Amino acid sequence: MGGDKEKSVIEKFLEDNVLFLGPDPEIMESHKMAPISEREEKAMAGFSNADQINLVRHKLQTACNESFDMVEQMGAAPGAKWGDLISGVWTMHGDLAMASMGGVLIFSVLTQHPVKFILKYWKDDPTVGIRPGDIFMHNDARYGNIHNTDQSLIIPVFHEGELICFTGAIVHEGENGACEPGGMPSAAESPFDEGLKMSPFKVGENYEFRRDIMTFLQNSVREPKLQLEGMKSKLFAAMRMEVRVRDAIAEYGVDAVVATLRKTLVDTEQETRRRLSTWPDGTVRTNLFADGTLRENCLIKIRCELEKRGDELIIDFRGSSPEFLNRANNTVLASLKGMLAQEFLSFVWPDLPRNQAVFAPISLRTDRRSALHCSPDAPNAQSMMTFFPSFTAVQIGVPKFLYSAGHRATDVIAGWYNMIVTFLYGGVNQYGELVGNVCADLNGMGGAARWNRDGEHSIAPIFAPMADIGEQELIEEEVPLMKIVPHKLMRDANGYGKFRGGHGYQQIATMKDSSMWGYMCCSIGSKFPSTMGIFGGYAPGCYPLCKVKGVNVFEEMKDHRDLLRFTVEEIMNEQPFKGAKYSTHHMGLQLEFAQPGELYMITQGSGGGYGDVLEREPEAVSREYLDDLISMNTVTNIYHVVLDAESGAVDVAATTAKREAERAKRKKLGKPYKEFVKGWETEHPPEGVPYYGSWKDRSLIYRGSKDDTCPADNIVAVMMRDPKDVRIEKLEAELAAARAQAKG
Amino acid sequence: MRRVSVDIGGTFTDCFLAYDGKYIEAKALTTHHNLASGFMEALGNACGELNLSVRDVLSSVDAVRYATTLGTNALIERNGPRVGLVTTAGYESSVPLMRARGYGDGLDHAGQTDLPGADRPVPLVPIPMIVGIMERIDYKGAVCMEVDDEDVRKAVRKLVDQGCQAFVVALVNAVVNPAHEKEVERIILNEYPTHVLGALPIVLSHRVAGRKAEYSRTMSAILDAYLHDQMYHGMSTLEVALRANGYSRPMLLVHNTSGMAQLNSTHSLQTIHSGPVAGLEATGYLAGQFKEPNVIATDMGGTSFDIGLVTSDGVKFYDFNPVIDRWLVSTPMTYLHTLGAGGGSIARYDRLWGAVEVGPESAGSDPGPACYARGGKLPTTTDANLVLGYLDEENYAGGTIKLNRRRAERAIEEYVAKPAGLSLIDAAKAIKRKVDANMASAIFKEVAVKGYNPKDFVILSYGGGGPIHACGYAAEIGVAKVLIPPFSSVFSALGAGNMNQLHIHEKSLYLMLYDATFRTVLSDYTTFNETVVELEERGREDLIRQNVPVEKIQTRVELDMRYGNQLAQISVTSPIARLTTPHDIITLLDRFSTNYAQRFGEGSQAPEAGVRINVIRVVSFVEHDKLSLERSTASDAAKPVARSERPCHFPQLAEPMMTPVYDHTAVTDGMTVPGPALIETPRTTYLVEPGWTLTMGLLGSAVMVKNA
Amino acid sequence: MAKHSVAITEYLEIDLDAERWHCRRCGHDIGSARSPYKEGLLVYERDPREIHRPILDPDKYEFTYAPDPSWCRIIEFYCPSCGTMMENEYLPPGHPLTNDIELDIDKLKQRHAQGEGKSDAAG
Repeated sequence: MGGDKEKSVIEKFLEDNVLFLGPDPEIMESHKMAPISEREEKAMAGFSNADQINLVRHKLQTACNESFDMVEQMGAAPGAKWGDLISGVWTMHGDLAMASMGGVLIFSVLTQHPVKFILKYWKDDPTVGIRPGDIFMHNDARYGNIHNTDQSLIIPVFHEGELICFTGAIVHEGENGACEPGGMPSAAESPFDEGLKMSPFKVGENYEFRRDIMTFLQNSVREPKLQLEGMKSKLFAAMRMEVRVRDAIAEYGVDAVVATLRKTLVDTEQETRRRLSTWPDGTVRTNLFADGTLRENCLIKIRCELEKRGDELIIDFRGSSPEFLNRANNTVLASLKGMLAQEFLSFVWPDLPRNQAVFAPISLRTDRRSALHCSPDAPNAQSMMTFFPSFTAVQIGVPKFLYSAGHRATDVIAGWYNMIVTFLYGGVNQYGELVGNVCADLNGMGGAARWNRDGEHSIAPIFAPMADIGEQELIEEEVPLMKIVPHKLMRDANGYGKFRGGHGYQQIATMKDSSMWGYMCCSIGSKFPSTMGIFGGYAPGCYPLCKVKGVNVFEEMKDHRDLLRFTVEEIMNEQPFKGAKYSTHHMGLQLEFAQPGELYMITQGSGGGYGDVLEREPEAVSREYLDDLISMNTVTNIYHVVLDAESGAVDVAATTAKREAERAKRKKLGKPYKEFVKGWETEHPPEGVPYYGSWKDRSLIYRGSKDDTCPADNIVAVMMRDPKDVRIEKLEAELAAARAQAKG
Repeated sequence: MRRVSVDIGGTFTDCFLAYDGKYIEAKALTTHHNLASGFMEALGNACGELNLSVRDVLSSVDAVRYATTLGTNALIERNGPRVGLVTTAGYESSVPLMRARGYGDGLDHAGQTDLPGADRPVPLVPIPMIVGIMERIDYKGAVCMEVDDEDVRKAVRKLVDQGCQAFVVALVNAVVNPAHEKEVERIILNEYPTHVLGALPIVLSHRVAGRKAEYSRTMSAILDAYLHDQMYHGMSTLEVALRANGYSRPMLLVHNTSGMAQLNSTHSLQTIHSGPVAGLEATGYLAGQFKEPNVIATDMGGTSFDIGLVTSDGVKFYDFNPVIDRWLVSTPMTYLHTLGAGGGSIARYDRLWGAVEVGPESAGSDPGPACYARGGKLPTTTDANLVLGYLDEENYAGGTIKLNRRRAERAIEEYVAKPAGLSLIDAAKAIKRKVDANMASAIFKEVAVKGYNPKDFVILSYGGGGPIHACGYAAEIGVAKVLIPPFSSVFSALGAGNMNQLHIHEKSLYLMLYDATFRTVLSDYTTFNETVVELEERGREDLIRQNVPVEKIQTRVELDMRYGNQLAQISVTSPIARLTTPHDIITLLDRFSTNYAQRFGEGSQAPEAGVRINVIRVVSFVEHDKLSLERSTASDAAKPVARSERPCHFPQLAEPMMTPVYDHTAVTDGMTVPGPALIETPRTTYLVEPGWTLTMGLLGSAVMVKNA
Repeated sequence: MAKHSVAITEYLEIDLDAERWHCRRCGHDIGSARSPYKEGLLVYERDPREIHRPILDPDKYEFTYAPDPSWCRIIEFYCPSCGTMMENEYLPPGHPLTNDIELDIDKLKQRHAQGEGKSDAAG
């Protein structure tokens, strides 16, 4: 007894003397819903008619959609305009029960954490508290959400003094005062380089922002206008939704609202489990490799094992790459879950409601301090660079269950393209304003091939349906980003297969009428494809960043129009502009200032292919050739189709013969499995390739070379060298060698 | 007044004839192969009631006005001409990519969210029919690269070689500087003079749409070129038929902008959806005549439910980027929200929520509801209405369709009642309740998003299915008054008879009224004033071309304004046509602020982020005489005599109620009927729910009020 | 498809009675359904540039749109009988091949014996 008492004294001391409240692992590592409380039990017992609940749900859903429209209309961030947001209602315990039908669904699983933090720490704190009219905000991904370019705002809804639920919205706002403009700094080497780090805090009372706090926030970012407009739009949307919740309470009673929110989660989880149970039991494995940190190329292993038992799914990422302590590509576990939920909400069961219960029957296994479960010390502004590939690892595994499953809500697909190929920009626009943000055309990711048809060209990002790549005339009216080519489908760079992945487009950007203008890019996959085909379909290729410096294309337009080219292939291979410097790079570009008329070129990627290329309809090959989407080389050497170069007419007999020959060749070249493995498999990762993650044994983690390892259950975080130092060292060595040679 | 107005719909051609103070309604089946024959038949029916010949009427009316919901047939059947697109080099993929999200334009929510299943529609202009030419104009209209004659000729020849039948020229930033589009037109005409290839139409994007955004403007021009032939052909046959029957004036086409114009001043794009817009226009007029400041117009048909708003503040609601079929365009249209909900909406048991769900899938009219006995097996809204007692098996749609109760029961039994564990009646009640709730939610959102309180509105209900559900969805929203307009079954045709000749011209610009960065207020008024003058001039030319006397032309200036870089553009009617003093600027800022606050909440305005005008729009119009639709003030204490009675079930009541059934002729002006009651007309049934009272008005109009 | 077979992928099915993997194109018996199907296939290592041609001149540039062959190889798996490419993997040189599908055959048989799990879309 005495021992216990002593312990509680110590506990109290510890509780009273917390240096500061960091992210709470108890909140952050659980994505499950809060247990059903007595209050909720009571409400559900009192209000249990399914059709009645359905009517209340319909009302609240309409309210979510209404407030979504408001944020989209009132928001100033490019993200808000293309729907990179959601608005929703959280239960009194902080679980997201209902969300707008539009918008980015990653948010559906991971917005609960900041609300739960507020409930756990601020509700009873005498200096904070939760009162009607309070406004809370948050953006630090370590407390929930995706990355700190997303800002969330929630307000509590009370009824006769009782906290009933929360309403609010989360928006990808862009600029946040990080070391690079636009809100997603790939140059960040610590969390302190990532700009505003708002843990959940109160920014206003009585439905009004505190002006001192607003001023502080506006002073902390490059776009004070955006900060203001973003906060206002979210607040008024949340308030509108609060009114709607009150209406529902007035019409149906408070228990109806409490019961509906909870029942929605309960029913959704039940349905998800029902669907999972129609999949075959077993294990599916994939290995995927991210090829860089955005500062340098390296191989980052994503090891993924999907284990399905009964109505549960366990996703095991153990054995994946360690975290990078001075790179921004690390993922907070909660963000990873959000992204994986996306696979199920958008690509497997798009008909399910948008709430966090969809992910409840799914569990994750990860190594602590791995790149997919990073510590709070690691920056995470570019977590997409590890959680997008993780998403793909799951996406290409799921068809192996789904193909024979008893329930399918949509088509079986290969890997969607998974990288945000666009320009982030920062500088002074043509009206003298300081701006920094990201272009909408990252939304043009190529669609994956499907089990019975091709993928669609640049169609939607992996994180949202109905996203927009925008209109160039509207872009260049606001910022000095001129596109010589805004989007032009790229030839020969897609995932081939019986059904091919949708093509991506190339874009050629330049700048006009600005005194200061810089670009950034944040994608991987320039050495190793970032998404994959399935069932014998190929991955798309790789995508570089290309630059032409030392040219002013506007002068060329005036004086040498014959030199102009409108594809990356022609510009780079023909090098038409005299005296210009042509170069290629991986797609991780830290802020780089450019001169007017210099060209920056990137290519939106393609989805993966489905099935054997030799089974592709020759007519489909011909159509693609006539649309100039594939070259004769691809027709002949990939699809093994014989067609007329002018008319595209297929020679059926010759094609059949050519394909037969190719099949025979495969049988000749292919080796029996055991024999092949003997010649192929190595003990360690290859020399000269900086490799991170496990190789054969998932409990042994490589840290960049074959001699540098650590155990998976005690990962030592990786510190990368400054790429400039690496380059200087290389140049110095070359210089020394040259000098030595000169000396003879 | 002598006037013929017609609305050609998918099934019926509605005709409304005003003749020396008499108002006649008539209908005929739409004849898709030759719209003129259905038109003449409907007109013949109307003339018959006046004992006049069609020739007598046509040779003496002052106008024939024509609205249609058709026009998209060419799109659906894909039988338009082979269009070739000339665009700025580098922009060749803009149309094929449809801004990425285009795959979902025109689809319902389920279609939009299913990414693996997403398919773009078959393109109107395939990739080989798109050519890029070397030229570039920047955002402010400065030429970066000139048009090259030979380059254009080469591109155009390539299109012609591939069988091009219509040219669309859409170049970047052509709305700020149309010089290059005009230059290309000149070169094409020079290369192919009209006598060489016949009339090969050339559509320049800046003439079709005045706003920036290259994809949606190009798409507008493509649709215009694509629909042009068919529309022109259809209208011409109609005009020929009219001429042959003694009509000598120009025909007026109703536009989806709530105006109308002669054929020679009409883009085909402007005729799409003009029927429902005419209905909304009639609502606006009725609201004025009936002294109802705020009206929600609802039109429930077999497959769709249209919602439109008329408000006392005179705000015009536009859809700036409407979707036509599957295509996003940028010509402004009067805003109407269309919901896939009607009598044919299919009911089902939703396993997920353990509840009854209705729509959005529809059995349409073929096979239609189960009770039609045309092969439809699935339960629909109409089946539930039959089971609940609201419909008469023998007297549905004036007796044209015999309903089969047994089939309706079986369908509801099997697909809803059994899986939901409900009795047949409870299942039918749940369907009715859900249908009403779905429509109510949609109405609510439409009204609320625009900043109005739905409770401040009355509901106007027309179309075949509306009056059965009107009390239901009104009650769900909390609206206590429902109007049924006169001539409710030809209401859109009536609207067409009441429109003004009107043209809208608009232009994108970047005009900072208040620059927040430099804290300056606009002081140079030239751009604003010159733009308004230019747009007024274009509207005037349009009307003069149609022989409108100059002194009759009126104009209205509308401004699309926004705070900072927000997406929200609010169209504000400007009380000022020329800026002359700083006072004018403040007036505009105030006008915008009031408008914005109403929509998003007081305090949500953000002028500190700057205020910009994005688009100036000039509406040029000439007012025409209006029909007279007075509200009845009669009061008649006489009780109408019921034709029969039958038990009806209501969702809010456990037990059925014996409900009297009246023939509409038995209930005359000023009589009141307490609910529950059914009033049957040849085209629809008015359901007065328990707790509501109906008062009959003039010309078949009625008002239903919820008892206090 | 054999009488009691389940299509697992575009090219693979399991004969539930015999508990064998079969090729769905030619019916070839690949091996025991309780072992990795890849063990019964032919395997070929391909230079990724053969499939993803360098769009940019490799003599001029480091990045060419083609995968880097020293970082990435394509491993192709063929049916030994009909030569259909049933699966492929993109792996760093020497990386162990992935045992990608390991199903609970007993559960599968049980489920299909109960008449569940019939496909309603693909396959």
